Amino acid sequence: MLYRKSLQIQSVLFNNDQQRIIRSINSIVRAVDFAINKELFTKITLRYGDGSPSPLFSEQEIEELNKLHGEYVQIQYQFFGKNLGSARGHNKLAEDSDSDFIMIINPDILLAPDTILQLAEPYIKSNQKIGIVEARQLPIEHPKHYDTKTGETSWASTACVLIPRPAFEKVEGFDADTFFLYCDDVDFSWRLRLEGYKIIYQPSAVVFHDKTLSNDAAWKTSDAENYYSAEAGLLMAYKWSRPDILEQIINYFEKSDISYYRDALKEFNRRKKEGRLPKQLDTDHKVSEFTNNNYGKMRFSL
Amino acid sequence: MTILKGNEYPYKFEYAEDNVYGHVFSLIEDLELPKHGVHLDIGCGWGAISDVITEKKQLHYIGIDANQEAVNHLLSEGKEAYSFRLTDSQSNLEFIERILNGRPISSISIIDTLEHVFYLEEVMDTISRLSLKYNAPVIISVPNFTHNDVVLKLLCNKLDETATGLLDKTHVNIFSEDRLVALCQKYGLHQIKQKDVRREKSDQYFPKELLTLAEKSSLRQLLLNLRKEMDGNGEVYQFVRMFIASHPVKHKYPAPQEQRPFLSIITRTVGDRPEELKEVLLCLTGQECTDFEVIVVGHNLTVEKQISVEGIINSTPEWIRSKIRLVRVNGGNRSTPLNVGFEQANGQYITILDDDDIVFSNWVKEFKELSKEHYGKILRTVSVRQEYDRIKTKYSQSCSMAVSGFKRDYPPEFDYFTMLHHNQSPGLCLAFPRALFHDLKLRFDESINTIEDWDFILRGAFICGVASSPVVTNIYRWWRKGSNSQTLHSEQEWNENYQYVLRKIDSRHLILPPGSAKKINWLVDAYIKNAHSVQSQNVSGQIVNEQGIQPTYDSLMQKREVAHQILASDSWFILKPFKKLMRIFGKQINIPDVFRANEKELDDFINNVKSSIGWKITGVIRRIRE
Repeated sequence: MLYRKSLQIQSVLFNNDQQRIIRSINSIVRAVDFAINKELFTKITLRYGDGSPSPLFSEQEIEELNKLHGEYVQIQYQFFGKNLGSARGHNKLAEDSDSDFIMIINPDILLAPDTILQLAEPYIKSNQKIGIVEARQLPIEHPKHYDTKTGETSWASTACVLIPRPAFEKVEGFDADTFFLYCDDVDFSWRLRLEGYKIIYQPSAVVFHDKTLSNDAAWKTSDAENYYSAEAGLLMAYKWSRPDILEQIINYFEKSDISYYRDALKEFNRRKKEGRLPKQLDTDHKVSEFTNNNYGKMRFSL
Repeated sequence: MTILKGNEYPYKFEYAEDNVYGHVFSLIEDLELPKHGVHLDIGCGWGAISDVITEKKQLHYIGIDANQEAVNHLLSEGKEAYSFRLTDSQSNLEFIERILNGRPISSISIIDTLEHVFYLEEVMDTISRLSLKYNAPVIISVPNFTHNDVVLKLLCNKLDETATGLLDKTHVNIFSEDRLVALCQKYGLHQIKQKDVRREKSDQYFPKELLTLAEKSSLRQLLLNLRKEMDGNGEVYQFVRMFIASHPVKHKYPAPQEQRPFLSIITRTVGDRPEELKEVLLCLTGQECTDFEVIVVGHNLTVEKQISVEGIINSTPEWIRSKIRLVRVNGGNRSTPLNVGFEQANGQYITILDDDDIVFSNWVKEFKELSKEHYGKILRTVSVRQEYDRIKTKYSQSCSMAVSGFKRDYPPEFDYFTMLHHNQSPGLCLAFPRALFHDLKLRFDESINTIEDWDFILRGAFICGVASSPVVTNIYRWWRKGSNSQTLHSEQEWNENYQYVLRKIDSRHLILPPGSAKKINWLVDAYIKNAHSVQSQNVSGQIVNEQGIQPTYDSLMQKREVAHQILASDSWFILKPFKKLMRIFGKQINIPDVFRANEKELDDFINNVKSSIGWKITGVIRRIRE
């Protein structure tokens, strides 16, 4: 039963627009107000870890934000001094707290007033071992499949998720040695599933994740996204014991004239040579799903 | 036009039921006014109403006029009348109280006088004080400066003063309806009745050969049609209104644009999609440009649903909550809440965002950017369509689930001619200039319950023009099962409404934007020459006609033609059985809707088909047919 627990909402910053973060805080405060009102949580901390080259917030600015919102949430800010990446950043933020639950969000995400309540529902209603509950993103809904009766899904995108601390600690958080920016959440979810946890998608918990489409209605990706998703593709196939998939990807990257594919392959080979590839898991393929170049079934393609 | 001799008094008008005097009297005829009171006729002139006031209402008539000849006329008829030139309010009141000599006022008229007075505001103050003191209704009549004849002549730089009439040479004040009502409200005079005098053609209807006046000229018909929709005042000759004094309304000059939000967002809801409404407001919370207001129009809400909608609004963060208003509407059809919402809108532009739509963070910003270059036009960005199902997991509330990718059903540019055939623009991809509704008085047609948006867009587009941006800013949610407007109405209703809207737009003169002549030229050319059969490709792949001259229409239309040829060709027909096979080998060719597809989609289609093995094989067949 989820009742009067403590919660840390955490986010890793990197060169974000301060105003967008403040707008996100405004939405978080509203959602926190509702969650406290329902006595799901009593103490809620909002903790930012900043990997930007220079701090996005001064001490005074954080103090002012706390003056404004301290009634609902305590805002903490830590300047990392270097770009740790999302996986290591979140591990660090989680280690520095002892809250009962951890909520991971993207820095510019906007919560609906009832998002925290909705994310908590599966923990309230179920006696099952749930490792992570994921919110639905707007305006571009994630296309991965989920069971429309149980909400179960292959993995959870950490744009906005609620995780019980014991589950997070059971799998020792994210694999920061392997993943820098992408697929840390897929890998995290699958390791939870190896430990018997369920991954639940909660469609009535909605968040606004600012994404736009190109003029030809295609998903827009940055150079960093392209590179790290290519690198993560190789590492996921290796770590999750799919040499067949890995071989296909390597062949494709080798023949490609796209620079970030070739760069990703170079990095993979470097790690291999240096013995820095992760320990392989799920050799009998109970958990991992590689379907049509995706990590699990998709409802549609973007 | 009246021809006057020398200094003859020009206002010797007679009473008639259908002139201003008859209208004035009809406004007080039914009122149970205090017996033995006085009817004060300020600016009485020849006293045209004096007899009916005395005989039918049995009130004591007192006339006041600056003209001694007019006063003498009334005196000669045995009426009480005084010569007095209106001046400051205190002097006016002192004079009137003196002549009243303790007698109470039952009613006041000031007929066709305010346009002549130098101290207008002082006179307004005078009649307001008298009305308040004696609880006496005031009937005011003034000529309408916005009569069609005046307005249409001004368009041709004609301003003809006459001895009497709408543009009497002695007028020092001019009135529109808004000005009259606002002026009265400023002095606490609130309108309670009206009976305007209407004349389709006034004393200003000359010279009749002027093209804005000449009965059958297209210019006149176009302008009259616009003005007819605008308000009912184009044929009003004199405003005849009854007021009663109370507290004044704080006078507001028309708001400068910067005081208005850029965008008013009208969100219709019947309260049965609370989750989606929550999502709409969340999307608005994420807007990069926050220069907007939101009017949620609750249509036929039960108390429970009203509470639910209010709860959703009240739960939003304070900064956006302060921008949202809930307006309740009962009755009517789908158009009714739009009309009510648009009426309430303060924004420079107004858009429709229904309670199940989804917008990206650039939605408002893109409209605003577009307005900088195209202020006054309807603004259009691009919608994509996405299919949704309604689901409920064991932990969730009933909510939506996207089940398709983004479908590019709507072209990146507004096409006036295609729009005459079908709607390519969901409401949420458009922002309408407020003047279209508030000044030109275009309304959503409440006689139809489908395609009301197409009807409104059509009428608006040919007045304002449309500026298009190719940027995708929103998702038009398409429910696979359930409550799309497409599924709620019968095909027969759709067809009937379609024909109705088409007839309506066809009965009007349309303003076409530059570039239309060439498009029509090309379309007629293609029709006459049956261009489908005569076009061929030259060696460089350019499309030429028989004479080797490139058609005058743009490349988009050329590509549509090529795509049409492919789809209509025997080769495409023969290839059909192989297409499934091609998909298996990852060679899927998306078949565009030729009529709606954009240039890139057409390019993709044409290139894919022409580079396909099947097309090369069937080249033999095409050559045989050629």
